[in-house]
Amino acid sequence: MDKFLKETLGRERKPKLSPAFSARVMGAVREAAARRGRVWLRLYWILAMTGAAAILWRVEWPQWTAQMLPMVAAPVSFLLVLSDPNRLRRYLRILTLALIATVLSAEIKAPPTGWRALFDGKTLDGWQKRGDGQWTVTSDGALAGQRVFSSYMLAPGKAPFKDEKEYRAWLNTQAWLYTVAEFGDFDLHVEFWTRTGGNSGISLRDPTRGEHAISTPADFNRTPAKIGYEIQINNRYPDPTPTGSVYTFTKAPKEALREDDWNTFDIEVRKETIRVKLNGQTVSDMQCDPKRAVRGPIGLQLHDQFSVILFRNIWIRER
Amino acid sequence: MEEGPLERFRSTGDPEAFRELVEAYQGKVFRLVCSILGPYRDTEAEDVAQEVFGQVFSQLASLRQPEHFASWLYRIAYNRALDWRKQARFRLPHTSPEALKAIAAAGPPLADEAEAAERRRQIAQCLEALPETYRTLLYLYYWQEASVEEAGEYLGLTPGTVKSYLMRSRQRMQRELAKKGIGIDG
Repeated sequence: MDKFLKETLGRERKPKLSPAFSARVMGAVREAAARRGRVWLRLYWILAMTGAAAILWRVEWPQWTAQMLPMVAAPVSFLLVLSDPNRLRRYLRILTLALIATVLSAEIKAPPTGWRALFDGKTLDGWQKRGDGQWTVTSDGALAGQRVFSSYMLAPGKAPFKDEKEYRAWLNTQAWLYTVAEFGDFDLHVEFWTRTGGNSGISLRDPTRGEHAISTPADFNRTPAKIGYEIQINNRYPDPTPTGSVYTFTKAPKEALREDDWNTFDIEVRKETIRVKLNGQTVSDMQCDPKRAVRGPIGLQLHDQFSVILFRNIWIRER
Repeated sequence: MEEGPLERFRSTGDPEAFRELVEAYQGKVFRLVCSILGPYRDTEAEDVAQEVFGQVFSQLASLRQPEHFASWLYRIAYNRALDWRKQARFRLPHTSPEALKAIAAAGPPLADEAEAAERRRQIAQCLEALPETYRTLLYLYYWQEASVEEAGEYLGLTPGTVKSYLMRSRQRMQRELAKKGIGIDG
């Protein structure tokens, strides 16, 4: 068998490698590297430009993109790096840039051109506390409002209330944080978060700065919503007025709210009209009451003793 | 100690170092690929070898044990060549026996040639029926005239295993030839 195979296979013509083989290989690898480089460059520019545009125009990405992007980007990036480890260093450089961009475009943003921040993300300068609310600034630059009380004070036998009426008067005493300055016509951008069952609001044009709402018992006929206007914030609180409504004037559609999440108001306040956009969707558009003031401070509400509210990126553009 | 092209390419990405690497290994890779694709596949074998070096170029940085570069390279070549065979739905060049008989009928010299061609085709069919490793080994050893050590290097086998596989592949080949009624002298 050995002899047979030697004769049969040994007789077959021996293949020869063409002399230009190595030159051909080098040409192919150079072309492939250049092609990969071009793809990378294009991808990088698209990402960079999209990021820059998003920062400049303050684009609000839909929630699903925030979830999908890392799910898609992570394996794709991983595969790209695996397919060409020579580019790992470059990839890390891009990653660093992306991280810097992410930090720059983080939730606490600088106001766009023409706007100014009413809240600087660090202090309560320019704001005035009304009532017994506790207003603090979190380390990530949000404004937090809540009440200070011990839940044990409500234990049976310990509660300092004679009856339900007294309890309700305590419970529904409001607290506010008002701007020191007053405004006439303006656009207001504000982002907010409140707990499940939370209720809050944004007061416009109440010259009394919530005077009658912060006393116990409060005078509910003279709250900021009744003297000026209040843009409602309601995260499943048992009140039929949904978030984005101008309290007692309009009724916003409920579905515009992202429950238990950050939401954005863009409020256009003019002498005769108030228009409210919630997460980009117009939810209120109304004519003002000519009997009410056309100028006043802006207030943030702590609706009741159990309210917890966060605000960030509070920007104004006066018109 | 002077750095070889492999180290130079890994540390600097210098294309010239890669060219040296290609030139050092192109012959061996080509021989291995040819042994997998079989005779009369020179052009295809060259294409496969080119793809192999393309893959090596892009993946060399991730090779964790550079001292095993050669076996890694041959493994890539082996797999690439097998993929090529599968993708190309590799078929033996065939001429029907009727056509061969017709050619044979045309005259005595042609008749001999046609008979030889038919015999070659049948032997090639027997080789095709063998497992990949056995067939590759037979081609490497008998056609490419590679030594036992060289064949072992390409396939990642010890010389002892190569010898034992060669023996088994010869036995399998003999059985295949017997099935087709091909006589063996010696």
